[in-house]
Amino acid sequence: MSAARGKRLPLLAVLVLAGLLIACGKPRNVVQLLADPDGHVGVVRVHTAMGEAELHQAGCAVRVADANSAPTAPEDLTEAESDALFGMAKRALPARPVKFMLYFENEGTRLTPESLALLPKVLETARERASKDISVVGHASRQGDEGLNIALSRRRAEYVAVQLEKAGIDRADLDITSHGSANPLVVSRRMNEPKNRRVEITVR
Amino acid sequence: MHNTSEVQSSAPNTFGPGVAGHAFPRLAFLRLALAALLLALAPVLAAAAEASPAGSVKNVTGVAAVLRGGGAPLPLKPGDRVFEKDVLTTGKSSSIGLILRDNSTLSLGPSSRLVVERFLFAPEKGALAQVLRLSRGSMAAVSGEIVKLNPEVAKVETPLYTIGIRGTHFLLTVEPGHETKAEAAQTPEATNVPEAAHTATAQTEAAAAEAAK
Repeated sequence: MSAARGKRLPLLAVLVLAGLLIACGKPRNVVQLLADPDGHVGVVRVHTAMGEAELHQAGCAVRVADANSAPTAPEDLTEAESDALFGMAKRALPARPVKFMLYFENEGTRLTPESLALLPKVLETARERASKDISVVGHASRQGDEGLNIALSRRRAEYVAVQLEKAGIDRADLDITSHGSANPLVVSRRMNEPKNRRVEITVR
Repeated sequence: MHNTSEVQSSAPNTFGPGVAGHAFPRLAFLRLALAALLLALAPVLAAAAEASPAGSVKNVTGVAAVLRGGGAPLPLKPGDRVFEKDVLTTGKSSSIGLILRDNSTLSLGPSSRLVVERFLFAPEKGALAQVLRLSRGSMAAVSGEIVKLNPEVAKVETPLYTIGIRGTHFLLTVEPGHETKAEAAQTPEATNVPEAAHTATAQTEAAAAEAAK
C-alpha cells in the first residue's frame, strides 16, 4: 500500500513536470479570444509577415513563434496556462464604465422629473467605482439657432456638473463638454426631439 | 501643451513695437508678423488639439509609469489621464488598468510596455483611430465605441504580430527580447538616461544570476 503510493507520487511528479515542460516549450507569444462581459463572442485576426489566423470561438488561442512564422492553428488554452500567461492583466481589467442619460424639459436646463430622480443613482455609482473620471456631455435638439443650441447644451452640461459637485464630487474628476445638436441620440423629424435634449454621463 | 499661454503672452512684446512704425511697410510687416505668429503657433495649436486625454488610469498594482515627451518616467496612480503617444510601463509583479475615452477597457500585466500610438475619438466628426503597441508583456482588453463604429481603424501591434479587432474581449502576450534596446530600457524604475538604465538593468540581472548559482 505504502509502497504503491510511494511509486505513484514520483509518477505524478514526472507527469506534472512533463506538462510544465511542454507548456514551456511552446511559444509564449499568445493571443486568446474570450467571451464579452455580456456573453457575446467577437472576432480577432492575428497577422504576421508570414500569414494570418482568425479567432472566433471563446477560449481559443493562437501562438506566434517569431517574426518569421505564421500564427499556429487556433487551439483551446487550458485555464491554467491562460492564467499563467495573462492572470495579472485579466485581474486588472477595469469593469465597464456606466452610462446615464438625463433628459431636459424643452428649451432650458430643467431636468425632467424622472431624470432628476436618477441623480442619486449616478452619485452612488461614482462612489462605488471610486471614479476619478466622469464625462458630462451636453446636447440640444436642433430646434432654433445652432449658436443658441451650442450655448444651451453647454449650460445643461454645466448644470449637471454643478449638481454633481454639490453632492461632493471633485470638479477635477469631471470632464465637461458640449455638442450643440451635432450629435443627436435619435434622428427625428421633430425639431425639438425630447430624446436629443440630454446630458450623457459616463462614470468610468 | 502647456506653453500655449506662454506663446500668446509673449506675442504682443515681439510684434508690438514694429507695428507702431511707418505707415507703408506696416502692412507688409503685419502680414509677415501674422505669418510668423501662425507658424510659431502651429505646433502649439496642434498640441492643443491633441491635448484631450485618450483615457485615464483606473487601478495600479505595484509600480507603473508613463514616459511622456522624452521626460523621466512619472509614476501613475488612479485618476491620472493618459494621452496619445504616452509610453506606459509596468514593473515586476505589477499591473495597471485603464479606461479609454471610447469606453474601451484595457490592462497590462507585469513587465509590460505599451505605447498609445494613435487615439482619436470624435464620432461627431467621424474621426476615429485606435492604435496601441505592446512591445513586451501581457495585455487584456475589451474594445469600445471605436471598434463598434469602425473596426478597420482599431489594431494592436507587437514586434511579432498585429491584431485586427472586430470585437471585443481578448488577451495577448509578447515575450521580452523582441523590442528595441531603447524600448527594453524603458521601465518604471529607469532614469531618463536610457543607456545608463540599460547597463544598470544588465548589471542587476548579472548579479541576480550570480546569486542564484
